Amino acid sequence: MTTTSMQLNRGLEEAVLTTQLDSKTNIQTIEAPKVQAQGINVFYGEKQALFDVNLDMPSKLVTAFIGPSGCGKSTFLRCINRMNDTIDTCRVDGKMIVDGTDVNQKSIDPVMLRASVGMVFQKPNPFPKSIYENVVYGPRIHGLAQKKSELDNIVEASLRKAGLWEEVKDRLDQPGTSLSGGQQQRLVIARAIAVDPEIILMDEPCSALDPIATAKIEELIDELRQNYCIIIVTHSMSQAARVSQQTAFFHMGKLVEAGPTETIFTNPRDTRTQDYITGRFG
Amino acid sequence: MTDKNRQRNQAIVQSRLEARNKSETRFRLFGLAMVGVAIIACFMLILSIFFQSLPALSENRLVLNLPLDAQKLDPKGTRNPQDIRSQGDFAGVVMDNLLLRFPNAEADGGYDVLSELVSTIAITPMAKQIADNPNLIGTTTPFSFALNSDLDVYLKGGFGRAREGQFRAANLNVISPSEIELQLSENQKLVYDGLSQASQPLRLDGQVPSLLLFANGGAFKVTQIANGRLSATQIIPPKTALAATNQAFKSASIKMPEDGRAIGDNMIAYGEILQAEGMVKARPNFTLLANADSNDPEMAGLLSAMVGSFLTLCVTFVITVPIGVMAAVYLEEFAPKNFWTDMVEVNINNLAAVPSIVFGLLGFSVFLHFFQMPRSAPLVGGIVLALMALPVVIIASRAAIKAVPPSIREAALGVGASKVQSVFHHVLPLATPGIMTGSILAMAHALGETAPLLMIGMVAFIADVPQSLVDSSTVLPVEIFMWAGRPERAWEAKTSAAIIVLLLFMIFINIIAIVVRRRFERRW
Repeated sequence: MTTTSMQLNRGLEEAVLTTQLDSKTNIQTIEAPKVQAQGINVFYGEKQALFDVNLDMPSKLVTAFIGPSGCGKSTFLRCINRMNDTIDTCRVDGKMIVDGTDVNQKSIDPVMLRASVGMVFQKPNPFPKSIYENVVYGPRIHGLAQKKSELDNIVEASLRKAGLWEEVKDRLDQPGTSLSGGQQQRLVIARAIAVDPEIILMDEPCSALDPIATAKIEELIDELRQNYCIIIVTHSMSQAARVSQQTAFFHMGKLVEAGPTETIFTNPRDTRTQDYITGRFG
Repeated sequence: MTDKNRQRNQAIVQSRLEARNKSETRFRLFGLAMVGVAIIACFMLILSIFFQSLPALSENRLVLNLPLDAQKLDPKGTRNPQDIRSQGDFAGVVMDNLLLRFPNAEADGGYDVLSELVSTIAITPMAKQIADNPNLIGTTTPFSFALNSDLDVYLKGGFGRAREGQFRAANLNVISPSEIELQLSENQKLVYDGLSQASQPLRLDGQVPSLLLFANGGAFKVTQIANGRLSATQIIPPKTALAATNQAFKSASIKMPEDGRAIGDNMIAYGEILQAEGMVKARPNFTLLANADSNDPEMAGLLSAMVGSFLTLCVTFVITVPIGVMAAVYLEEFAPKNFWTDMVEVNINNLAAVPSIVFGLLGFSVFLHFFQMPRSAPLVGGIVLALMALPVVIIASRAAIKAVPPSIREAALGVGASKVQSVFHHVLPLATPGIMTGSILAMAHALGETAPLLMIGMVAFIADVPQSLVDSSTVLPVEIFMWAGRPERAWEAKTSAAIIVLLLFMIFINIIAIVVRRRFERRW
């Protein structure tokens, strides 16, 4: 059992990531994690997609999942807000502890859970409604605001946080689908922020965007980190290195290694991690 | 070696390229030809129906300025609508007026012809108007009556009507009060199937086309032609005596021999004179749209069938669309995928292929026999058609729901919408164009359906416009089916006109479908 303590740079104020790495399993534990996965197994029908994943994700930091296609990182991400429930054949075992509560219990309503765990998808998927309607949809169905003025405030605040306000403030009544890809993805982030979640899940949010739009989203992620626990799945290792403070590497449905991003990229403990980040496969 | 191989391959590709391009061109031409054939066939179909229906688009009416005699219309003098209706001699008033023009009709047998000009049913609108408004009695009021349908058909060019125009007689002998003989002038030819100059005398009996002559308000029927010499019998006496020389005549020939048609030469003679003197006038056929069904073709209209079709379709729509859409939503979004839902799916697909008359049998045995619902009612017809349309609506709705991208569902679930909210806020609105298109096309199909309705008694003769869902009624396609089977000549054109009305209904419904699709269509 070794204890590593390290100060993260990149404008991080006082946040200290304390990790304890188990020498046998390469699994780290974090003090006071926001999300804790304990022994997660996922099955699609007969096929097992995830094998006994244990991982802690801290709040106010960005955790990135990397790994080759089909390694189960998106599946794992969708376990956190139980989006896998929507797939008939999918079965999830194990404990997913969010804020001290196991969300895989039957008594937990996934609707309740998703109100506090926002999600951004690979392809921008705004509703085919106005920009305004896109943002207020969440607050409206949850009953967070009744009056028009309250809704207006939520829209402005959310769009400001998503860095989109200046670009769209004069055309809130235009369809969200009329925006460019990068703007759409920021609109979707604003839509997720509008219900004031604590955790934001991002499933390859930049894979459909050009480098400039990608840079904007990454900047946004860095800003949002101060208020939210952000978990991002990415194909791009450079993106993981740029935006995340913790990185987890998945391979063949198993969590191979997780730790501070710098450690993973500079000094990986597992040869598979080493091979992947150096581009030997994947 | 590889270079050689490459050259050989290129040569092979080159040699086949031409054949491939040709086959592509051929395929494209075949496609164009097929589309062309389809368009031409459709065009011909519509044109032929349209031309066949032309005679039914106008109607000839007998217009009379009638002095309403109190003695005949209200013999009791009470001015009570009940009494007027039951005791008024309306046909007598009409006949009296006609006799003013044809005073000899009572003597020479024209009376029967005159009484057939306007049928009893065609007089009822006048009776109703007078009974509803007894103040009219004693005044002189213009009325118009639907003309005998056979005469109407003739005046529109039926039975081979041909007017050859005018000629002058060189000399003319009045042999007896009812017979004349006349010689055509040297330079005048009477075109009568090219036989006017035949040396053999030609007898014009009921087996050959008829020739009628008109002069001075009188009418004559030619009985024999020989060497430009015509013998004719008088049908209607002329108002003034005919001149012995140089008398002008108008002639009309009817190609269909008298024995082969429902209308006699006498009736035609009266019709021609009434039309020439402006007492018979043509006008657009309002009767077709304003009247209910009748046994007299001149009084028959489509109103009852149109109202019946409308009521039936309302019932069908109200039943089919909610049930069909809800079933589709459940099957597509909520139902677990297992053996039972597979069974349901297979059966829905099978139901869509069941012959429609089977649904009629089902309606007959279940709704009429078991539930004792009224026969011929739009309610039952609507339910039967709803059963028939339901599988189609479910299949179309499922396809529309399936076509909504899953990313929209994920987006809604991702911000914490419940399953029902995601379906009703996002999936259904996006599927609406597809669902409405499918539903409306199913409605159009139901509108044109005849067979199942025959089984539940909607094939009855309905002379009243249905007032409610349980009144006896019929629908447009069944009305067309019935009209097509009736004997009088006028039904032929009426049937085509009814088909056009049905097609207009269809076009209207399809336009609604297009508008709805455009209106609700959204891109994502």
